[in-house]
Amino acid sequence: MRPAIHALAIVAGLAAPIALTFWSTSGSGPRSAAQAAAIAAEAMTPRQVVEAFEALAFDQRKPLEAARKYISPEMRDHSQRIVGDYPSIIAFLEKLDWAKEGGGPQRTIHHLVAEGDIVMVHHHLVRTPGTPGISAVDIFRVKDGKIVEHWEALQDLPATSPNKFGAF
Amino acid sequence: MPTRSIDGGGLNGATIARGSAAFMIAVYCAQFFFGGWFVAHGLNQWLDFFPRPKGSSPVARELIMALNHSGLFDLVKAMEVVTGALLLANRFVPLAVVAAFPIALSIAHLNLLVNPDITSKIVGVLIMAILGLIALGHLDKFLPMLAFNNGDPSDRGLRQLFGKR
Repeated sequence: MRPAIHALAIVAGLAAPIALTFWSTSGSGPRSAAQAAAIAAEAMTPRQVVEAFEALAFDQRKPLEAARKYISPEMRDHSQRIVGDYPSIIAFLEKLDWAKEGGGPQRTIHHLVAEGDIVMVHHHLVRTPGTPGISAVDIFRVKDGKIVEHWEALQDLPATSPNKFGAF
Repeated sequence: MPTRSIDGGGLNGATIARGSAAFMIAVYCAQFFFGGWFVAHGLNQWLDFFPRPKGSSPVARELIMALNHSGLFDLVKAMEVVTGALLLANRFVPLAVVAAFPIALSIAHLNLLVNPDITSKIVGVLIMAILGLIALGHLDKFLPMLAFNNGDPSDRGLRQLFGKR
């Protein structure tokens, strides 16, 4: 092939699929932003991701499996109990043995609020039966169906309190 | 058979039959379109110069997200860039066809069997048809692979590769 024809073929070869892609992803194309949004809506919402994570981790007592399924490897955890990256979360969860009978905390969700990519869970955790446990707020940021960031606020509940409404 | 002179006698100067010339042009069109497609979409993984397809169905989205989260998508896209560049450079084309085949098959599977929309079906058929056409254009290079009785393995290929007979 002559160099001039080859150069033209390269330009045409690049231009044709790029033009086709720009058209197909434009407002009038078959793969527009509106179509992508409709598909995204069919996929799991951030709230559903967090609910699924909580159900697998706490209700089915499989925190490690839940982390591997719903936490992104790019996770940033702001919990001051761990280093905060994905390997440190996995290492932390590997030490837990919630699968055995009575293992893991008793957990009751009191509020679950989702706005945009942020999901907040306010729950009561009792790690040792017979103790008041803790009031916990976990805040998750979800991206592309995975939890990518986590913050927590934990409050140890006293055995006695002057508050007449209770912690929840 | 009547002959036709293209670009002064075939694209590389040889006089070729009219049917062969049409076939050659069709294969070149397929090759450069496919090469441009793979280079553009491969580079888009890092350059983001047009909206990245996130999948035309929830399952496709899951797959693409899983590929991204595992880091495998970077490898796939790098392969797309390399094979696409080889096709555009018109060098190692049979090798590029073989290397691109598993990627094209995955794209075709997703578009034909998972995605419900008609655009996906068209893309699924087109990608295999285009790659198949390029492969047919270089079938003579693949023919040695189609040996039913392959014989014993030997170091003949290694000796040929390094110029020792």
